[in-house]
Amino acid sequence: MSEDKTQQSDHDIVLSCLEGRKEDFALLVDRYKNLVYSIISKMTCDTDEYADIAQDIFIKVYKSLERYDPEYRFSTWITRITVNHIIDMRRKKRIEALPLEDGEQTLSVRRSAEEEYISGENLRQLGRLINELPEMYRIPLVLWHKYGMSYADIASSLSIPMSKVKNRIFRARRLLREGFKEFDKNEMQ
Amino acid sequence: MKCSDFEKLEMKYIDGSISPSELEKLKAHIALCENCASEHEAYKRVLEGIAYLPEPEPNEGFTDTVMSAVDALPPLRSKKAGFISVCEAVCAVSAFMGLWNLTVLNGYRFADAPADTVLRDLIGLVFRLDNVLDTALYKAGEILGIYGDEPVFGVFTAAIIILGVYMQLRDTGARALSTDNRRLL
Repeated sequence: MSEDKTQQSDHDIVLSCLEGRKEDFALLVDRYKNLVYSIISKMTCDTDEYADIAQDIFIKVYKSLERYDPEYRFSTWITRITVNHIIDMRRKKRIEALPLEDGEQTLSVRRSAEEEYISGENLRQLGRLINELPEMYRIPLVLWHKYGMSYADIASSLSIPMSKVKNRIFRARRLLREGFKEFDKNEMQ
Repeated sequence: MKCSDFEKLEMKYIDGSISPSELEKLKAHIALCENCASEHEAYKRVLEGIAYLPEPEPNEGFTDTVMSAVDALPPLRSKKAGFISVCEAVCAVSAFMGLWNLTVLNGYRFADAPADTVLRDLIGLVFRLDNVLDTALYKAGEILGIYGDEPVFGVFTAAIIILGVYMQLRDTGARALSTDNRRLL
């Protein structure tokens, strides 16, 4: 019976690619494309460029597979490559960081039953508030709350101490809460 | 518990690192303090909402596009595989030089040799060198304090082969271990 490749660990897939089965890299692309896209969307503003940037990142990941250290989670490693790639790209091309008062208006919205208590308007406001956060707060906040990464993994991904990660997420939460309270106050008036 | 302690415990609650006794304190405080209860609700609403935020999604053909680009790249080789291929190359060159030395330079003909000496001569083949390499290795041997010309290259080759086999076995062991760890998790 053939082994179900989708059940393989990330490290096993990496080893398989290194043994010459490059088609197995598609499994890693499928697993991590949403994470990579999410980080790109939090760091750049031009939605037309997401696909090209993501493709460049995955090619860089493929070429660097030999250097992957299984001591770290693959998600941590690919996050670090993504963040560094976008920072390098900005340096080279002087690409604008995500501006304030912009956001998800061109993006499709995934709906679920749990959203009932968060109305569409609240969700849009939340998106705006997150985009208004400084990038140093925005990225760790999203990695923690949306992708469930641990403080240690975020610290490793962003190459900053864990104390800074905790501090930034703490401040980001507070800024969001204050922003939402302000929004509620305006809604009431 | 005072209102000033609320935020610290609330953060621990959000992180899931709050202790049972701290949780009891937080619950008791929220039940009595309207202001902190409203803060608690605000945190809950905002942070739980992050999970439902719209995210850009790659189009359906994204993986295929990446794989087309990957297909155009040369195949990857691990450091270990690269090392083993060096071993293979060294063995091949060694065998070729030995064969050249034996047949062309010394006029050896396998067909004419008695059957019992062919095996002995073949074993000795990989230890034979052409004159240039022989001299170079002899000099290297002198520098390293290893004397004797012919066996030096053979010993060197054997050491590389043993090391390559060891690394390959170690890699296989590491893979088996990582699979076991995954099952345990």
